[in-house]
Formats: sequence, structure tokens, C-alpha cells
Amino acid sequence: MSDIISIKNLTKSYGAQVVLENISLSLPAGRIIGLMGPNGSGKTSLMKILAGMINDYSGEVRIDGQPIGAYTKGILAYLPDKSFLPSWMKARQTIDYFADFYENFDSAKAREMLASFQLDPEQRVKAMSKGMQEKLLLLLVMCRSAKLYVLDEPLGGVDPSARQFIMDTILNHRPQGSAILLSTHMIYDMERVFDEALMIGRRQVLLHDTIAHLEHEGKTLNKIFQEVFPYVG
Amino acid sequence: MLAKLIKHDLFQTGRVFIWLLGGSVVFGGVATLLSVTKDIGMAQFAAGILLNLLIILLMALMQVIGLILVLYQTNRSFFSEQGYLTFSLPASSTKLLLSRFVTNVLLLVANTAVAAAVNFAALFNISRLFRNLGDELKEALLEGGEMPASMTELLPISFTTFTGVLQFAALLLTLLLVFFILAMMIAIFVITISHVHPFSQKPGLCMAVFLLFAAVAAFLAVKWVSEAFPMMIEWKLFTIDTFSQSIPLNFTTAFVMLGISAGLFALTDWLLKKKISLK
Repeated sequence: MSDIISIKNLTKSYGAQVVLENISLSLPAGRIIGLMGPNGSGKTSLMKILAGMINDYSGEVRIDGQPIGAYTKGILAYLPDKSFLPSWMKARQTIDYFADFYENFDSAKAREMLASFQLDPEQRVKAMSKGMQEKLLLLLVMCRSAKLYVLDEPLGGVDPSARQFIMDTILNHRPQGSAILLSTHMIYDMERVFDEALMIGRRQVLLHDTIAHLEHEGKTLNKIFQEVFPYVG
Repeated sequence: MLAKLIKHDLFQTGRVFIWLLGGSVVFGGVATLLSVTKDIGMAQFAAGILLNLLIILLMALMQVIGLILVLYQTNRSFFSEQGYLTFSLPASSTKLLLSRFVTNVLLLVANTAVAAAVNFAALFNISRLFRNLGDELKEALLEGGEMPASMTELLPISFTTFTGVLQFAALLLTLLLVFFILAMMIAIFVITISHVHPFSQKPGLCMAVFLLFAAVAAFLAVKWVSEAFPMMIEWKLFTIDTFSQSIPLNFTTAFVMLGISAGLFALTDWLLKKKISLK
């Protein structure tokens, strides 16, 4: 299986604070990869680098064999942990916007999902609740037929039923053969969904393995997380 | 891709700008309507003159507001949370910046053109207010009660030919636009550098960079004004000859300003390519 993400000697720092140091890793296409680590471990920075939101780093980062740029942004669908849509836009205008820029965006599917999510096409983003905005963002990202989905904490701060709804949306609308890199703290809920686990912390990749292999060794993801990141009270 | 970016940038910023442009046109229209009545009295005459002078001042203010507005939208598009949308688009940073630049220039041109038209209307209105004065007032205010043949004769400066006026206006608007482009690029560069790590951690350095470029801009502005307006300052005549003499100097200044703007564009593009780190 070819690699969708290839990283060599990646180092990222904020001033004097180094968050990722000389990281090298390859992630295969077509898999669902769980990105885990404690707060401040560099998960979001890694995702921002992949999405092209951060470009002051050293090392080489390639997606589908290409350096980060216009091509990789065309095949990567990124869901950041914040609402980025212009507040004046109506829901239908956000769909038109995405359809205009992304060749792989399915407008008809987006309109269907808008109706099934019970979102009003004429409602402006600023008039939507936080939950409605999250639904709209998820819809816009998942209606792209991307090769790689980078989802930063899509389950953060939502209730269990909304969590289930989000996971169903991601899994049901994921195109065949696409990869998903999803960061989360909800390890217990997500273990059954992931194909691979990637744990980063202390500036390094501390674990990268398949869930099948970990299960074969009789370990749960939750248990491994506690071993890799022991809580120091 | 560039055309799509410009279309969306124009729509996004234009929807705010339309109020500015619409406001200018409405002000000009109202002032024109108020100055068409014949045989007006002193109160209406004074109110009309004041209104039109206020409009001329407002149009100058509109230019500043327009510049602030395009800079605000640029900052929001690149460096607020909306930056996550902008930088997710499958376009190079050069295209993103170029789109913003073209959008800003188009809107500033529209704003300047509307302001120039409204200013012309205001000057015309002032002339008409004099014409529409009642006979008694006209005799009291104007020597012999006779109106000058041309409205421009009412102004403290006189233009020898209509062509000269048009040429001067074209030069003035061109230089004004070039100055706006330079001011805009300086501001966009400063905004970018202030968001770029690690400069963003050093507000003193940001301020020093801003002051340096502000000093350069102020120097160029003073140089330009001193070259373009000596006749106006000394209340001399605008003639084809004096106008022609001022062209080489003004165009040298314009090319220097455009050169600096291009350099700042390249620097900003480099920062967006290599140093962006969205919060």
C-alpha cells in the first residue's frame, strides 16, 4: 500500500519551544489513523503543517508524493478545531463557495446532507449555534471526495449522541480508498474505528502501530495510552 | 483559479464597499437636488454651500475609510480564523495575495472614481447655487450681479483650458492611486510581518518596521505633493506648459512608488510561503 503522508526529519518550534523534533514517519493510504497525545503534544501543529496552515518548519513533508502546496490542498480535506466560515455567509453560499473551488466537492450531496442535518440553507453562519456550525463544517469537509481527511478533534466538546452522529457522518461519507487522520482524546469510543494508532508526545512519535497488532498483543488502546503517557499528579 | 479568487474576494469586500459607494452617490445626489431651485434665499444658499463643502470633505474621508476597509478585509481573510478557509484553498500563496491585491485596487479605483465624480458634482452645485440666487442677493454678493462665464472662475485657481483640467485630473488620480497602492502594500506587509512568527513575539520590532515604512511613505508623499502642487500652493495658473513640465518628475515618483510596492509584494508573498503559522 502506498503512503499518503511521508514526513522526514520534521521539526517545528514556537520561538524557543520545540513541539516536534526530527520526526520521520509514513502513513499509508486508505486507512483510518487515530492521532493521540496529551494537550500540547503537537497534534494540532502536525495537522496544520499537513493542511498548509503552518509553513515555518524544517524537514520534508509530502502528501501523495507532493510537497505541501496547491495540489495537496486539492486532495486534502481539513477540518480544524475552529469555525472558519465567514459569519455573513448563508449555508447555501458556503456550499457554492466550496463547489467553486474544489473540483471534488459534491454539491448535490451537500444539499441533501444540509436537509438531513435540518439546517436552513438561508440561515447565516453568525445566526447558527455552535453545534449547527460544527455540522455545517463537517458537511462541507465530508462532501469532498478527498484522498486524505485531516480532522482535528471533531468529537471534542460534544455530547455522546452528537459524537455518534459525527462518527457516523465521517464513516458513512468517506470515499472508498481515502485515508483519515483524526485526532481525539476519546480513545475508548474510537478504538473500534481506527486501523492504526499514532501517539505523539515529548516532541517525538512514541507509538505507531496497527490496531490489529496491538489487539494481537492483548492490549487496549486506552491501556497503551496510559502506559505511554503516565499521569503525573 | 485566480479569476475565481478575485470573484469571491470582490463579492466579500464589495458587499461592504457598496454601502460606502452608495453613501457617496446619495450625498452627491441630495446636494444636487437641493441646489436646483431657482431664486433661492440667503439661508438656502448658505446651507447649500456648507453642504457641498461638507461633501468635498466627506469624499476625502471616504478615501481613508476605503483604504482602512480593504486592509481590514485583507487581515481578516488571511490572519483571522477565516485564514483557515483561505489557506485551505487549492491555490498558491502568490495567487491568494494577487487576488487580494487586485480586489483592493479595483475597489479603491471605484471609490476614488465615485469620490471624484461626487466632488465634481459638488463644485458644479456651488456654481449653480450662485446662479440660482435671487436677483437682489446676487447683486449684493457678486459685483454687478453678473455671474462669471465659467464655474471654474469661481475657484481660487483658474484653469486655462478644459483639456488641461482633464489632464491634470487624470495625473492627480493616477498619482493618488499609485500612492494608495504603496500605502496598501506597506500596510499589508506590516500586517503580515506582525502575524509571522517569531516577529509576532516582538511588538517592538514590528513597531520599528512599521515606523520605518511609514517614514518612507511619508517622505514619498511629501516629495510627491511638493512636486505636483507647487502651482496650487502658490495659486499660479495651470497651463499645458506647466503641466507638461511636472509630468516627468511625477512619473519618476510614481515609478519609484510602484517599484517599492512590487518589492513589498514579493516580500509579503515570501512570508506567506515560508513563515505562516496560523494561530
